[in-house]
Amino acid sequence: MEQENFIHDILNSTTGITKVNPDEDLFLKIEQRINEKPLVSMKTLWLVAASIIILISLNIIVLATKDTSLPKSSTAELENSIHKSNQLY
Amino acid sequence: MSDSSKHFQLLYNQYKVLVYNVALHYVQNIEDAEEITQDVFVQVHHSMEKFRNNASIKTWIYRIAINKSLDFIKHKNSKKRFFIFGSKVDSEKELNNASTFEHPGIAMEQQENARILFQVLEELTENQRTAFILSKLDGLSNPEISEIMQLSISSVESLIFRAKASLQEKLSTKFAEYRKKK
Repeated sequence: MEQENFIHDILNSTTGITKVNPDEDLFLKIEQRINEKPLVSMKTLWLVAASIIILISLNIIVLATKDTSLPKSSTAELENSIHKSNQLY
Repeated sequence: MSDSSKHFQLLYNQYKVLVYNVALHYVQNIEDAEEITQDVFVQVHHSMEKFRNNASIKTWIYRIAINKSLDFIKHKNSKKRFFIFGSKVDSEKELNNASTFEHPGIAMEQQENARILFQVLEELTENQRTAFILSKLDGLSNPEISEIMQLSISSVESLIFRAKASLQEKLSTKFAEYRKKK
């Protein structure tokens, strides 16, 4: 019974709760935040993004053409000859 | 003053109490509730042009207020989880603040009980907590809550029922502690 009363009292403790008004200066703070200029301009942001995209594209192009355009190095040729001479059958 | 500024100020005057009180019910801290109210109205200002009358403006603002409050709590909890040395003092301060917070809209003789209620409310799931706050503290009807939460009315009824059952269970445990103290 005591437990039921305890639970009932707590669940009903907010009965008759009244609405609270925010601080009067709050609207000024909101206006200030709305009028704040972003730290980095959109133009700079786009320029950085474009530069990164160009850099990545150039890297991809270089990697894609590397295998076909480069001549075989002397180390690779030597490696091939060793492989042939070590043939067991 | 431009038309949009006037319109925004009107919106603010009409909904500031609603937003502030929703935030206060979630965070039980005046500074945090003010910060959330700022976030909500900055978002309202940015999205005012995109808003189409598919939903009522009140429902739209309610949704923003709830989402911002839940995001704020998540952000605060993650900050608490990752605290290192120096911020320990802040966490302790917050903990003390939460346990001594007096809701300005609640009668003095009910403050102690309300504090326990807000404490156990924090342990509910997000949806149960939202449904309970909107129903019990904001006094909204189930159809209104279902519109805000974008759920069916029966789902809202079930959420409120489960929230109450869960609160009763948690309060039974609290009662045992309360008795020991006595």
